[in-house]
Amino acid sequence: MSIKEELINQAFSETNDLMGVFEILPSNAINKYRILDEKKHKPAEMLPFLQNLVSETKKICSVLKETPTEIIANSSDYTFLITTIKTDGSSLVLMLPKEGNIGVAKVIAQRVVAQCKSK
Amino acid sequence: MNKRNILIVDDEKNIVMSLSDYLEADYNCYKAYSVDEAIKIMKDSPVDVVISDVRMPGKTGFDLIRWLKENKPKVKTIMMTAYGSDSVKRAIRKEGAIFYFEKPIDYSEIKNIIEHIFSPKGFTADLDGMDLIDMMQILGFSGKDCTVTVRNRLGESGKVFLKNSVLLNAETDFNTGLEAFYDIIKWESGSFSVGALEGDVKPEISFSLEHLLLEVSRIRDESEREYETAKEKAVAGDYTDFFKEMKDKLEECLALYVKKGKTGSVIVSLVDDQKYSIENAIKDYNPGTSSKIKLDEMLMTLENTYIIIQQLNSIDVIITAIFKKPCNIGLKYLTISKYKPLVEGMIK
Repeated sequence: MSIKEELINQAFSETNDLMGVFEILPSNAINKYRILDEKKHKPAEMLPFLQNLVSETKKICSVLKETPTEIIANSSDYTFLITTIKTDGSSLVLMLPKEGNIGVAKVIAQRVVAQCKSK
Repeated sequence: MNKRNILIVDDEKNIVMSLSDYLEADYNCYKAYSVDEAIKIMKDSPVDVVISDVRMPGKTGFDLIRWLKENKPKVKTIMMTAYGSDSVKRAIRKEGAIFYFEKPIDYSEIKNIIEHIFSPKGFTADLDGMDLIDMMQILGFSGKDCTVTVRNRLGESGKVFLKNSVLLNAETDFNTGLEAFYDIIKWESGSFSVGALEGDVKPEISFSLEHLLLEVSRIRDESEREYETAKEKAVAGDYTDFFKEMKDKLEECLALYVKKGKTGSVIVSLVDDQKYSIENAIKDYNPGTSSKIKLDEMLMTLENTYIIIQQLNSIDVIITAIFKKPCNIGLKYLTISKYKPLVEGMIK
């Protein structure tokens, strides 16, 4: 998918709620694009959590023979919006605070996904 | 009914395109990427509302408002700004914009404001602490012809169309007619606005509002009784009956699983169709155990189904429910949340 740096910059400039952007590859490897304040929001905790979440989700989807289009996961401190890009099987992850504006995040995710597809 | 005309002005093309995509189902959207381009469009085309950015290269949103005041005084303006300082807000108000939004924009809020502009005789109110049935009764007594727009706390919206104390129709994102009316009336908190009756409403229900509200009260009482019965079963530790009732209450629920997180032992497995049997896939399912971050809840949107997963971390229990699309998933989510304390009290 290769998310362009300019799209990430634009996303961060549009909302104060955005705390991190990741890409999950079909192999379940994670590209960390940016986390604001890595001392507070530790990638070493974040990445295994997301990998575990996505691999468990894939198991369920494979039994149901379906593809996920969107996942909203709430932990005690964060909300993760995971949007699937069907063409290559990778996913975009936006990390927000627990009470963050999910509507705005969805608009940003749709735009990033659309622009990644068109490039 | 002819669509109203909206002009969106911003030098950021992404914002113009995405806002236009969002609004174009209900409005004709013109797009401009500079003030000069906007003025040219307004000279040639009818525009009812302008949504404009403040800062743009060359002429600014303030220049546009001044031009509108002199040339198109009836056109309403909504301003957007990424620089929401007090001085900018004051300047926007002073120039005469009817509303402003700070970026990032919540498009649904802009849509609410546009709807409000086109329903100038309506009023808005906060529904928290007030029963929606009471409010409907007041409108029924008044015999008012109106459209009631209701929004619940998950951001879902619905409309109820009333004419001379008769419910003409209702709609949500998922239903129309009576089903939509019953969905809306079940929402426990949110906000509503009352505006003029929309001109293109197709009468699909045409029942007396008073009759329907009595029916709603009866259904609510029944629902409360069912909840109390479920509570009694929960206290008595009658798992299967309790979760069967919960599944019935959820409606359109294809499968409901309740399992212990760490051991994976299944407490309850209720499946309508073996196609949705995911017991093996969720046996070891326990996301969050390998990291310090603990999952509380998750909504998965698949091509044909929704899956809600609720983790009750205090008792190490995971509830998984599968629903066929389309359905009012917000309502399902609220129902499961309502049952959570009972499950926590029952399984220790």
